Amino acid sequence: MTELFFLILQFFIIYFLLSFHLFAVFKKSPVLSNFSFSEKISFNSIIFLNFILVFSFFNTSLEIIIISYFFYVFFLFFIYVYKFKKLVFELNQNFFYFIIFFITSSVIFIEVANNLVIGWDAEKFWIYKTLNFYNGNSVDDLANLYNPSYPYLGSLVWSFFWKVSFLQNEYSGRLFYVFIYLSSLLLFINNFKINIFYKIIFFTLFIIISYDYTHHSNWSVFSGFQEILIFSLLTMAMHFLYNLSSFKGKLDNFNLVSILLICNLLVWIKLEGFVISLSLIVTLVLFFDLKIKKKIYISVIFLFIIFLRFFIFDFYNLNTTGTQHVGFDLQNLNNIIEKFSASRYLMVLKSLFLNLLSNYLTLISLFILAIFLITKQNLKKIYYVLFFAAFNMTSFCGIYIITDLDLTWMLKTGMDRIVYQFSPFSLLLILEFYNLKIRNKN
Amino acid sequence: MHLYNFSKKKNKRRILNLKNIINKNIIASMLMFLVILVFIQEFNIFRNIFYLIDKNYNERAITAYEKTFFSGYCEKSSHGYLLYIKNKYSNRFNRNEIPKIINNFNGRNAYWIFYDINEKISETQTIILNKKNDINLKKYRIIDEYKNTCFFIEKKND
Repeated sequence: MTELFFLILQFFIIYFLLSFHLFAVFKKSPVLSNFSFSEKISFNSIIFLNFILVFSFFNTSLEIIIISYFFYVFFLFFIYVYKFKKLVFELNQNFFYFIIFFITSSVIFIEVANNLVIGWDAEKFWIYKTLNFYNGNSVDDLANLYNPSYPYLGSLVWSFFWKVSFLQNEYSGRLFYVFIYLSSLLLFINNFKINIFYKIIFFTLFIIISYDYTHHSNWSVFSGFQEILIFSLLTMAMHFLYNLSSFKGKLDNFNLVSILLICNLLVWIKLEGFVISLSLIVTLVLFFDLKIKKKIYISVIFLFIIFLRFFIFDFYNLNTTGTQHVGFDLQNLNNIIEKFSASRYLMVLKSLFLNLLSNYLTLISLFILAIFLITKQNLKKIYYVLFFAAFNMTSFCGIYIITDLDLTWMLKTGMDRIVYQFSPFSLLLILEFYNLKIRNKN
Repeated sequence: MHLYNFSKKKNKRRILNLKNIINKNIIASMLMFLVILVFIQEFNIFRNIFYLIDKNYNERAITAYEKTFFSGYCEKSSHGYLLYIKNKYSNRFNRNEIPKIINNFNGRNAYWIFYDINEKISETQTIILNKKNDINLKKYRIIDEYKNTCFFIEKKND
């Protein structure tokens, strides 16, 4: 019973730490007053992750990072008290979202507390990085671990909430993954212009269909895998992309900054994050009606994000071999060209196709795309979504083709996770399809 | 902070409003109820709550690992036995050391179970998993044994 109580308490701890909005420090903030419950916690999660990431660059221990973040939260807490004279918000529609968010979080928290298996990759890479921070070590100690060249943000946040918990076990840290996953879905659902009952139905259905792609194993997406973080952040990025495309001129800069902050997080979670963040930036630059100056800024900031990622790893000697990923040793151009053969190409395409069909979200998006084509709808509105998906598929196929390891094994063990990571594009396709139906109706 | 503080009057009015909203959206609310039921069923919520109250962390973890393809209680990666040893004998571990793991299954040794990567791997205490006949246990004192396959042993003093 105590564990159940602490489990529920962990929800409120995470919620409290992500409750206070950074924009409260500004005198007049349209963002703060207009934002919904899910927008606030999602944006605060992005700020939180960037906060702990930046502090880790200074080789600080987890304790220092936690103390610093608590200082930040209490600073905002006092601003809220000073500015709003209360910590109480009026009961409105946000209350329903909070209740549904609390219920779904509790259900999945309890599921995580029962399914305690640490997945294969999580046990190989991520749990040791988590223990590194949990045991008081800092970034430069990662060099003593297996595969130090792998990013560490997911492990850092895992150890953060393991430490900030009344539960003594590692799974308390993984509960944050549930929190960010649900907040990202709730954020996206808010874009549908439907009544609250249908929003709750959509939200629950999206959880059911996106929860697990690992039906063949007895682990879940919350078994320490980092894919769920990429999925959640990309879902948030899709929300900001949608806002940019549908509400031109309204909070453009806020949406752009949010996407750039997400890109910064993606490259620190998994190596796939490079491709996914690049696809976000290329989509922004090519398909959005932004001023040239803004596009240049976006590109320069993205290059700086990439530079910083390599600089920090180089600074702490976390990648002495120069190899970025197992199975991808440094190769010359001839070796790479030799690997491009028709048989390998077909193998990768076959695997991609099968995995697109076995992922419920992408399956729905293929179905929607078919409807778009059959009914001869104008695809112009969804070009940017299609480009984003095509860019990811092409890039990952290309990366698989040049692997040094057994291609069949690589595809068998990795392609489902790759598809899962970029599958949030399907949510955007579903939303655009829904909007089209509504427009046609009117 | 979303702490909700509202008067009784307002509360009553809101409940009435909620009733009206539900009455106006009867199909949607029934659908919502149905989907929530599916969600509860999908996540086995009642069984999970029962296990959470009834079993401690180690018991739940052991049960979970018994279902995986790469582990079990005393087979393959043997997470179950490691959890059992950690739970029962952590007081007997040498100071600042964790037992060495020898596993004859071609997998990984799950040292993470001991939650401390700063501790040294012991030279005197060993956990043997999936024992084969080639290991001579004469020089060791057996602290724990499971089906003559998994052992927690300690070197005898000469």
